[in-house]
Amino acid sequence: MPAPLIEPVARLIESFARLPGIGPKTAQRLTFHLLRAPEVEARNLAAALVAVRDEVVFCERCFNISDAPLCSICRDPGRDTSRLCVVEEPLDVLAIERTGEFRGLYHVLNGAISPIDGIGPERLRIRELLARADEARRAGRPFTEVILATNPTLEGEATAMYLAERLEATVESITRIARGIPVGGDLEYADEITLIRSLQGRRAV
Amino acid sequence: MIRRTADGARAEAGVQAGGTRPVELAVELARQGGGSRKRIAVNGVPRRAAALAGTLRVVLFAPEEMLLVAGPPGLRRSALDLLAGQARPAYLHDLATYGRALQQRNSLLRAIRDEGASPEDLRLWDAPLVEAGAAVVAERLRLLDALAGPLAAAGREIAPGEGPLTVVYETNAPRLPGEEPREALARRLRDTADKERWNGTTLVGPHRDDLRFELAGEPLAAFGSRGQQRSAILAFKLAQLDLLTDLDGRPPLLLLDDVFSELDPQRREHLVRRIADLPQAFVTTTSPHDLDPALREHATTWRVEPDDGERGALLLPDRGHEGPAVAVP
Ligand SMILES: [Zn+2]
Repeated sequence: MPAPLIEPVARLIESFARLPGIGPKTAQRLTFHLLRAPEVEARNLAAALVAVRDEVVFCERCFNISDAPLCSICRDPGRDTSRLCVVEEPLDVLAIERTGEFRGLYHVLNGAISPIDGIGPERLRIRELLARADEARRAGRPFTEVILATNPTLEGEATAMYLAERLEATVESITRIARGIPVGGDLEYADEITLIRSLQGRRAV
Repeated sequence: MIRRTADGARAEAGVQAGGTRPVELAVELARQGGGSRKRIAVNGVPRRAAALAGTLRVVLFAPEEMLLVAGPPGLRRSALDLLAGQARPAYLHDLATYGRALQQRNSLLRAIRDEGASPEDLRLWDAPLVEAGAAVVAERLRLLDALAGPLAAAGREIAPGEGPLTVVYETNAPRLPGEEPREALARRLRDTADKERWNGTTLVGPHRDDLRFELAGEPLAAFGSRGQQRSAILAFKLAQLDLLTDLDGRPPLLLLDDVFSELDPQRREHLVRRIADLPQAFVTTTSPHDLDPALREHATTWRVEPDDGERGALLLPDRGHEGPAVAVP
């Protein structure tokens, strides 16, 4: 029988292997890399892990990740408060922010409706979104546009449909992001479904 | 399949069809969790499985399909889905969307029954279920319509004088006069709403549809002899060859997995004649002596042997005809 791994090593491998996208092989590789690397590298990683849990919170208004009760976007007086973009994850906020095209506010649902995963509407930040839209309307400044930017998956579409029905009465207009061929993408390599969708969504030029 | 001692498996193929650019296909299986994950690349670019269906068309004839006429409905649905996906790759997307919407809807039905989730939310999944489901049914009907001619012809050829061979689509959401398929499915969902909530599962839709093989108007599953059923299955496969060939003039690749021993001499001979007309076919068998001599004569034969060490199976030019063989006319 081979000698068992000493406990701290086994524990780290196990911890890595629990992360999404990391299999047992990669977990072993990462662990032995850290054992061989300069001590500071491992200590920095450990500190970063602790800090991400201790110092990062969810914004109490939009539920984006934040280092303060309100995130930097919600605090920014230069943002257009009449437009709201609804996304599934904090990473989606980053992606849209990188474009520099959108100057409104966000609302992060932290997921999409998916009964398979036991995620009903009550598990997402939907109640808070509806309250937010309602509050804005009562204050006489209803959102002029709510952009539903959930993913173009079955679950993202269902979530968008659910939200559209419930936001109808409290906001002026509801829009859904378009789907199509990525810019710089080769038509030849676009998958058939993307092609079909972009043909369906074509417009006059 | 991944060898027990290996991390993964990989199969590659170069495909060149009359006058078109060669295409390199690779399918990789990698261990993941308790199972495995499939990765597909076309010319080195990662693609979805649907891309493969459009690049390399195949007609597979395997022993388990000898139950196609009289066996469980799932066999017939799979056979139809495989064919429809190759005839029109977008079908696979509709089918996957339907399957996912069905899973979501069934999970919700169970949550409604067991945990008091809101029945109102079923509407979220009804919309994609009905849309994708109707598209699946429409494509299956279109395909069977196109298959009818080649099937009847193949039936006549294999078993002359037995009456016309037909395949009928049996749907659990039949249309009323003037109704669209999606309207019929939506209506049936409404009709079964109480029952499915009790069962915790979706009771109507193409996942429960079936095919019925008929000879001279009589259902073969109930009334056909074993020989008649096998003739119908062979005719069904040969009709698929014709249908896929007619799409763009390129015959699909025929894969015959150990089926010769299942056929009587007359049907065997018929199949060999058809194989001889094809540019390429792969025949696998564990008993090469069962292969028709006429087939072996113009086939290239390889033996598949387990490798002693790390790399897995080997293909060797055949000498002794012992062990599994692959024949490529
Ligand atoms: Zn915020």
